[in-house]
Amino acid sequence: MLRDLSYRYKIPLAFTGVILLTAIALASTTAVRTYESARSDLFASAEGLGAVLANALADPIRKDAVWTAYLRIQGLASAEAGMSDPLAVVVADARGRVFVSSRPEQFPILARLEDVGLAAGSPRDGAAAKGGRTPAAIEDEAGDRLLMMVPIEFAGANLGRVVLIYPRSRLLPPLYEIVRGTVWTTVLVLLALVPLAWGWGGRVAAPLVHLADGMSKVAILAPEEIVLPQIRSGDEIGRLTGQFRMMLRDLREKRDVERQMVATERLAALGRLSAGVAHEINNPLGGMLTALSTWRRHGGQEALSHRTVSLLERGLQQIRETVSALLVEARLETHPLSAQDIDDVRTLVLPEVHKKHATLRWESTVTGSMALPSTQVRQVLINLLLNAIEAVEDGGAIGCDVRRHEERLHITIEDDGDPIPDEHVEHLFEPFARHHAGGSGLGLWVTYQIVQQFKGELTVDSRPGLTRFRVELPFAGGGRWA
Amino acid sequence: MTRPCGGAAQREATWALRKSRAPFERGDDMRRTACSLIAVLGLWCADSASGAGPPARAALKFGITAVILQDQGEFLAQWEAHLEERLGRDVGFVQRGSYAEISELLSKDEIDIAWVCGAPYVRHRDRWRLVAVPVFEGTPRYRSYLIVRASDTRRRSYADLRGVVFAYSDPDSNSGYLVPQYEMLKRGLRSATLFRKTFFTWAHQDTVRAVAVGLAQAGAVDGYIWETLARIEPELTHQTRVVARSDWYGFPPIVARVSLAADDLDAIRRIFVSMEDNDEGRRLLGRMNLDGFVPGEDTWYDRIQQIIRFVDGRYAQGPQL
Repeated sequence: MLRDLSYRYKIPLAFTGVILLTAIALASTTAVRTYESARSDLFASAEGLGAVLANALADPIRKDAVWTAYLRIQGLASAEAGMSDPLAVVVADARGRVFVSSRPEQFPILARLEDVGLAAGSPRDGAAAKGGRTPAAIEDEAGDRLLMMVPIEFAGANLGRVVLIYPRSRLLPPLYEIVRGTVWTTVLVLLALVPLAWGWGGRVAAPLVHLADGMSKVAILAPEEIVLPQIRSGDEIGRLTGQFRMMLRDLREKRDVERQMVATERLAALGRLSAGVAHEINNPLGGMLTALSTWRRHGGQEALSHRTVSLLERGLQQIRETVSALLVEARLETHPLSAQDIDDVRTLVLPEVHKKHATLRWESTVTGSMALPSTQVRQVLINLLLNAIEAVEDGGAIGCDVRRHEERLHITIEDDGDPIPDEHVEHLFEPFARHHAGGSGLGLWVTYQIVQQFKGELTVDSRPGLTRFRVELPFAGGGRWA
Repeated sequence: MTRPCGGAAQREATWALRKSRAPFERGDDMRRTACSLIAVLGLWCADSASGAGPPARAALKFGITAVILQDQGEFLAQWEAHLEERLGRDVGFVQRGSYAEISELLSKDEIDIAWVCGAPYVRHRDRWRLVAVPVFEGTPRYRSYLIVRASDTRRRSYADLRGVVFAYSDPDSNSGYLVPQYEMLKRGLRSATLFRKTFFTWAHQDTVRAVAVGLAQAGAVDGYIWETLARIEPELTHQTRVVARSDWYGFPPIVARVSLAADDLDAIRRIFVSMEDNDEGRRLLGRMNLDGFVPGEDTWYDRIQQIIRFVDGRYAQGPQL
């Protein structure tokens, strides 16, 4: 579950965890040291107390004065009457049996020390085992208590020993203090640092979160719709963001190329289809027109028939024109393109420009003749210019730029009319794709076919206030038009 | 009198300290009493040491033992004042750690009168004169109680006490040593073999305390002391249970050295016997939990004489018992 948590939370949590671990480590170290110190203090004071008691008990033990001895240890124990865990005192005789104790129920008279859990021998301190001639501090883990055994001596003879029994809880109050202090300090530090950690974690995690969000949208949204954070750092996150941005760009380009390929293939298929259909129609059409012509020369001259034949003839003629338009003929015999041909186009379209009160900016830098068929190039120019004139509002502006560059002819036609809607762009070059009143719907189709046939490029870029068609036509190298 | 403030005083001080911590009904009273005791003892010690000045007559030295509750300093001061007023001369209480010391002081004329146990009295009849005998609960007699811890519900007699640690009060005590010896011998038991260990507490209330805290599993105690403690410090006696009560014996008497002048003896006796006739006397009697004093008769202590003979005789017979 923790693995699935966002870095937005993982980072502040880790920060808090580090603070807590540090606090625990510090508190533990201090607590252990305090405990050790409190224990050695306790043992030191216990040894002094034991020595005083041992001195005071020598006489009662020698005289078997149980009650006097009891009063002496009880005086000490009663000084701690207010404590919840008072000290217990056991006095043993030289044979290791209880002589008297401050807690007779727990340590009854004559009980052997071993039997009441006060075994003299201890792995920690062998001194007590060897007759207990020196004070011995014993930490009784099992009984959870600290023992101080002090020998009772009189005139060089060992009379027994005093055992002071402290509950280990004696050492706990300073520990509680430390723990409480640490808890408070930690809480304060956390209060101060957690908001910082939260903010810092947010800053570190935000780009990651953005990136992850962006990546998860790749399959759903178009690449240009995915917004990435602006990161300029050179660290891993910055690099990752840069790579992702590049990946998005590649995706976008790939998608555009695919889209263009689809459109091109469709146009090519349409071209093949229309050429085939046109050929199939042209053959019988030619026969029909010839038959009508023959009929007119030899047939009856009555008025009704003549009108009917004329009607048929006009209809067939119109079919022939349409088919001709569809069947763009590349091998049309024509002369190489010259600057004069381009200027002629300008003369041709100027009346249309004036009709719309539009302005025509004309720039042509070509000179001499070029290895391109003049008829077809003029057809392209005229189609695109008429298209632009059609598109502009009354009094609009049209631009035409023709130049030669690196063995290619560049034609740019601009207008400031309404942009071409997105949904029309895809089918812009298809036949009969009429997007406005009037026009045959074949102008751009023909233009496209011509450009294709000469292995040129035709692109359109339409945005509010500026629609621009670009044509690039490569010169036919060493060929027919040279 | 090399150590006017001996072990007893020190012991009493410890006692007082402990008592002052114990929450009981008459706590304030007792605390005051305990504190005053230390002060009084101190003053008295100082007087004794300095020779007590040159009064018209030497002070009457009154030895007291653990036959009464000794740790009531304020009471002793009041009683002392009462005696001085009635007697017309200084009175000084003398306390020691054991009955034997007081007996010895009295026998050697170091003190004039003493409140002693019946057993020392019958042993010193030739040197001591009976002054007065207290009356407790309508009779000049008392009994010895055998007590165990209250939590010990099993033991009902001496026969049940095999292997216990037993607390006696004083080797010269009747109720705290002689009577239990007698009761055991009557049953064919001997202290030395019956008990695992014995020790003396040198005061009846300390015997009660030793049994109460479990230092000893059983003890023999003056019935009057136990009953009085039951009134003023019931939380202590509640920790003990009276297993058996002995026959009746003559109450610990107030005696005088045989050398005391007869008119002095009579004067002193009159004061004791007439205590119940005046307010202060009655108040002091109330504090002592006594009805009063009577002149008393020597024969009242014959019974103690008999058991002394019985006990001495049994032990003189040797190991066959």
